[in-house]
Amino acid sequence: MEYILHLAIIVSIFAILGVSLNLVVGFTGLLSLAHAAFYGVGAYASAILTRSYGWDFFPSVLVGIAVAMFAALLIGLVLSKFDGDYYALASLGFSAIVYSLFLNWRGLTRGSLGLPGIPRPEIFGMSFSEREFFLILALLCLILVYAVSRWIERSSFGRVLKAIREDERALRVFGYRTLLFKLAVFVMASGMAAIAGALFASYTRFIDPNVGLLMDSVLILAMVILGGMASLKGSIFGALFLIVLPELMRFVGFPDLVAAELRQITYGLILILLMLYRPQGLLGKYKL
Amino acid sequence: MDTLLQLLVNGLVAGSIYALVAMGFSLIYGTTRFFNLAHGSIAAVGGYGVFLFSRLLGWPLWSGVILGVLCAGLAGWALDKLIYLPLRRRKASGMILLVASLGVFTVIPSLFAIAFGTHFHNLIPSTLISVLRFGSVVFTQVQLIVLGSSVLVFAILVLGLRFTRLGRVIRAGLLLKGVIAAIVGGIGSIPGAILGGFLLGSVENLGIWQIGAEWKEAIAFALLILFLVFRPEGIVRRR
Repeated sequence: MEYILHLAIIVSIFAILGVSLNLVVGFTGLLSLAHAAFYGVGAYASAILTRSYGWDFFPSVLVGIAVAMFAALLIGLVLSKFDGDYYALASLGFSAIVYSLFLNWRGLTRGSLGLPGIPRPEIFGMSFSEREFFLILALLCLILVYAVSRWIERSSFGRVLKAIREDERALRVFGYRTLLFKLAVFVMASGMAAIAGALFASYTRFIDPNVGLLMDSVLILAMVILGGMASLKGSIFGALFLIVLPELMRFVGFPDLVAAELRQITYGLILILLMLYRPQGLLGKYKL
Repeated sequence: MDTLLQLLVNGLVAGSIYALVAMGFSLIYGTTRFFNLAHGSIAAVGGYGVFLFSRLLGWPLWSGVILGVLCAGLAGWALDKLIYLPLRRRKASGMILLVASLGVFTVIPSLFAIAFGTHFHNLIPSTLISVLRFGSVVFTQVQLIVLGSSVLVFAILVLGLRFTRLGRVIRAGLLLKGVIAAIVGGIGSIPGAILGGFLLGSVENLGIWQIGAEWKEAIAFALLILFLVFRPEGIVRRR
């Protein structure tokens, strides 16, 4: 039972990441490989504030969101100039730079030693250290992120995003400043990723630079594409599937190191097979 | 001054490895517009191939090198046959090919990790590597071989592309360091790939000296982003 609760919490955290990345990849058609970097920024900001400065969880999440959105604004100013292959590559570059910061800014992050002993959230004296309560908190965050994303999808802003995906140049001809729209969606999605990061940090109570790893960005991207481009429900399903599937391999009894590599191989193969046989994903409305 | 010179030499050698990968990447991009993120993983197939034949099976180094190159070629052919060619036939978009290559990029290193472990392997015991001195600058034998083979491959590619019919047809038409070098140099341009490789190698090594080795990756990607913003066409503009 504990194990199922644990899986449910991890799935909720990754569903937040999937839904938010879908805004960038699925709606706007920008292949960002930097999403895990903002997840990492949120995780570190919240972990440092709660652990070293004794802040409460909730204000620390707000600061984490703000820091991630500010970082996304700076990075997005450069990134939004690109599209297609170059957007993917430049975002990959930024994700490598952010990872280096986590690893080398030792005064703040303790480098590869990581930050242990991150406190669990408390609200009105009630502690979320029980898994049941933490799951409720994670689900509430997921519902919030889903609702905001759904609202973006239906708004006129969301329609402009989809139009950028279809034909950015035409939209520019009509006088839309597409760069601002691309920047705005990137910043919002990064703020959502920071929520997931803060949840993850306080749940596992330990983080190290691996939270911002490129391979996590690949995993989140695989969730988005598997679930379906521009389908928010699909992203939740993608997170569920890609977190639970490798867990099944655990029961087959591979050694830990092999199991970790097999998980990477599974994610990679799923991406390849999707591209070959169903590039729009399972519930997708639009092909890459 | 001596330190600077030695660093530039090291940069030159590192750069020629990047340039080798960049030339391959550029050749693929220039001919098929396919942004093959997994190209560096194929380079790693070559490396592990040499390790397998020369170190684990104990064959002479030269035969290991030839077989390693063949393995990498075979791996590239198989990936194209199984994945990229069917996608191109279907006129899949560049993004689909990019994501497929991202999948390959995720799979191959994990396969190596399972087969060979995640630690470093030496091909030749480091005590056996002979060192050559030119004044105050030191080369190892391996560095010279790396440099020499890059020049050779470059010459073959340039001559081949210029003088053969296959070359004209094609013309019409490590990993991420090779991709970075190719873009910095000017994507699709073979001389550009060389220049980009050397620039990347030198900047990285100067950065290690001035800033610190732990920032090497960040420096490489910062160079990429600077070029993408200020000179997206790269050093050599493709005609």
